[in-house]
Amino acid sequence: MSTTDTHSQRAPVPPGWPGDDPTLPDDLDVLGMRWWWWVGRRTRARRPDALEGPGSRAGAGRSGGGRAEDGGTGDWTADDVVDVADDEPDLDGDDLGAPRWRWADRLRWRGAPPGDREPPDDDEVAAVDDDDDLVAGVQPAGRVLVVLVATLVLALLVNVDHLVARVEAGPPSDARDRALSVLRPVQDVGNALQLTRVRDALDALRGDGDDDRAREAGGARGTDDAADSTSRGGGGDEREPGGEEAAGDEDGLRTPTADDPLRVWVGGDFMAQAIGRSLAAAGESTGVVETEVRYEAASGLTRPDYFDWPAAVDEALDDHDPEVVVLVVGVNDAQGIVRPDGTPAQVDEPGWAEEYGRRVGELMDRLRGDGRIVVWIGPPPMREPGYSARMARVAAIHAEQAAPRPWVHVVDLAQVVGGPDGGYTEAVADPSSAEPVTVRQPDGIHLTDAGGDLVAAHVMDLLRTQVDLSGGARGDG
Amino acid sequence: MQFPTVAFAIFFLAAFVANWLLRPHPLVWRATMIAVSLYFCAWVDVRFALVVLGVAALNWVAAAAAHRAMPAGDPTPASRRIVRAAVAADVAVLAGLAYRGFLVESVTGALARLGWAGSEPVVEVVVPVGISIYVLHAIGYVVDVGRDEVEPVAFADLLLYLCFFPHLVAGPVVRVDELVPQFHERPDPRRVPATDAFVLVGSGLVKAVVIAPWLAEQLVDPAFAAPAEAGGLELLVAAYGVAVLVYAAFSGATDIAIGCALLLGIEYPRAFDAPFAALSVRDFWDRWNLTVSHWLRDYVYVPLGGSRRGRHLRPRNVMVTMVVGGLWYGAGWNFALWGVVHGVYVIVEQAAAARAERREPTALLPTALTAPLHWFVTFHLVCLAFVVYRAGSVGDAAEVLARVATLAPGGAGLVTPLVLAVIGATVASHFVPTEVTYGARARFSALAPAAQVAVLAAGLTVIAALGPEGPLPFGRLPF
Repeated sequence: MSTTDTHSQRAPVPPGWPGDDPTLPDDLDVLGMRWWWWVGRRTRARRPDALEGPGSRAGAGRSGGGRAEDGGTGDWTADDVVDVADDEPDLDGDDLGAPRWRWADRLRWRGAPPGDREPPDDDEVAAVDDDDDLVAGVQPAGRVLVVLVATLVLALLVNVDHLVARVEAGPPSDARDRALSVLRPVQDVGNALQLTRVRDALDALRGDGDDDRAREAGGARGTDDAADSTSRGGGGDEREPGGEEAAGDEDGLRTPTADDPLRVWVGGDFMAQAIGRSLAAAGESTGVVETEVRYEAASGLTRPDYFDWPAAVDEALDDHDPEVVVLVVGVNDAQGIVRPDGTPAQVDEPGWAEEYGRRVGELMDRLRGDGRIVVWIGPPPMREPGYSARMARVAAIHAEQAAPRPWVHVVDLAQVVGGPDGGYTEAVADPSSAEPVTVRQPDGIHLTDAGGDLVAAHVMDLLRTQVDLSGGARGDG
Repeated sequence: MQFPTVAFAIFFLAAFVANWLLRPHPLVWRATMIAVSLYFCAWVDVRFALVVLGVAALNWVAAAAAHRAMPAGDPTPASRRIVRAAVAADVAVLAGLAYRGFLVESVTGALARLGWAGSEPVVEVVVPVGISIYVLHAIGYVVDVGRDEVEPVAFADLLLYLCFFPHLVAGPVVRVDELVPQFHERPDPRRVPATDAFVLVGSGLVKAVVIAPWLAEQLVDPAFAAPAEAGGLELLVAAYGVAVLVYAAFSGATDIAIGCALLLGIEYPRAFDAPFAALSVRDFWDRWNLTVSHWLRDYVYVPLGGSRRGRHLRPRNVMVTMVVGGLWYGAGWNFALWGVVHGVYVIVEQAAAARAERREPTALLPTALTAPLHWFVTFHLVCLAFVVYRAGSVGDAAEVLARVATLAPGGAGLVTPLVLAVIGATVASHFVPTEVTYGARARFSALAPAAQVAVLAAGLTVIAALGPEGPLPFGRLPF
């Protein structure tokens, strides 16, 4: 916290500025915009008092650029600096100290070969004098601005995936939409430049970054201890007996009890949050259902480079060995896809549906397990007609792929939170009370909590046709 | 505000550009900085900006009136009445608004919208502070004028002194004669101490964004939520954790503020000076949140009579000052009690020191052991007080302390090597002189801009990745 380092050097009105009411110097050098600042050399603003005297106006703006103007680039070296330092008694004592001198010496850039150089002039001596400036990093404001802007842009590009996910996780609003409309192109750039991989690598290094987020998302079961989400593999083995008891596809599952509850795993995009939360609550009320929720905002099946659901599903199957998997995907899937041979296909191109269908089918196959029930929840109709049409197309592919796979039960959200015609509607009648409830958030995309409750109730009804969930209710109640 | 990262970054960059371009024109500069700062207030809550304006107007008028009432320079009864009325009004504003309600909710809501929900303790720590900063400034100004220590300043200066955005929410608290003269100086735009500022902002982010929330989440919150489940040793470490957490939250916030101001050419005094290296409780208060402590000394302790009105009144003055200080950290009885505990410490320590002075010095311990022993005792006294600070109630605090004292068995698995390492490293950092970093600072300063950008962006990314959640750290600034 050496904020006082520079205090004594503050120059209220820097000498060498024009007039007695100085304005910003007109020459760009003072602002630090010389091109070579970007290509490498160390520069530094001189202490203003070093610039006083005859010709100070000319010197005012040099800030190290003087060397170039003086006709030599790199006309002095560390050796000169050391010599000068030795001749300057006042440099030694106060706050500088030997270690810093060594640093400072090493930092002098070495330019032209020794034979070409000239002895340092007064300006160079003055430059040596201000090692405090070097420690404080004294720079012209313009250069600081450039560094700040470039830093923020670079950090934004590296972290943009997380930023998008965070913004998406927020409550829908115009500001959110605006932010997303700005961020999406940035995200594309970040991905195209592979910069987002830096952050991914960091998260991987950190270990279970995704697990942490999933845990926060999935407060469902109240898994507060970190050990739960970090230990891998063990859970599946411990729970194996439950899995073995499971009956075949058609016969439905074992009857869960409070001691050995039904293991439900909910995964998917941001919609999985609302649905998962409601489902967890509904499951808990039975007393025999244990729900784990994992959502990843802005994810889907078209962009495994952003989030790899098949891998996440594998991990979840290993970790939790769920008897019921509820997968919520599709909302983010109407975008370009890259086929296995590396060729891209846009949504309206024929190859897109083929590739997307292949991925959906593959994931459904992957989810197949010993009597495991897969509840597949596709996208609902959307307020914006074009978007809604694309979502209908995605949902149709889901249904098409599920048809030959009896373990997959597709929930058509158009039937649950859609209007009478299966189109978009903000509110539907609650089946239990017939009162209208708002099921969609103002953005016309996401579900409200009440919407999540409706979907969860639908899923629970579906599960009851397959599993006897009454055991716990009797036991607890 | 949905998009705090870019919003704050753009806000600051705009302020930065405007600051340096307009500095040569004092009037325009002040008007712009006031506008920028009020915009910042209004960003939190429009009413917040209006209250700042009202407080500025009130105190400016009062100070001018008090100054007129003392033509000879010395305080007169009339000037004292005016100053007292103004201070009473300021305290009423603080009590009525900050400690009762709407602004706390507003700011908490704003912080939640900024993505700070989820780390409640930090929010609790920071929110009341922010609201009280400008009122403390206002009280200091009007009292200083009433004491004839400063001349009344122009309204624009006062308003900017109150609402200048870097200190607006997180502090530090500065005296009017420390800040207003800087408004009239011309910092050299070629001489921005960028490395100092980056180090301050960076270390502040690490403390406020990484360490404080992480310790809260991993150790302190679970331990204090269910002390009965934690073992005695675990709670002892949790007490260390509270101390480090509160330090990290406060000093992180002020470091960021000081760093941002430095980029604008404004220097604030240092707020924290390695408090965990203190060798006595009074030494601790000479190192802990100095700007606030100095304010309390100047405007609470001294008006009460300080240590000049006889020995018997001094303990009372210390105690009142400490309780007021405690309440500044938060509107709750636990904070007041924290102040009481520290008041007792200081009073006992003063008495012991006075007694020791009257006696022949006796060497009970080898000199080499005295300092470590003093440090050890001081650190534990401070941590013990922080248990009170953090506990939800007196009963909770008693339970925690009882379990620590009896080394109660049990364990919730909260103390991990990493937790110990973070606490240990934070405390150990207080023993490392700043000069040690000079080499690295100089090396950074000498880098080409592109390399500096790479280093800074990498730092931001690491901070963002290590934070409990969230992308870029700006959403978690205590602004």
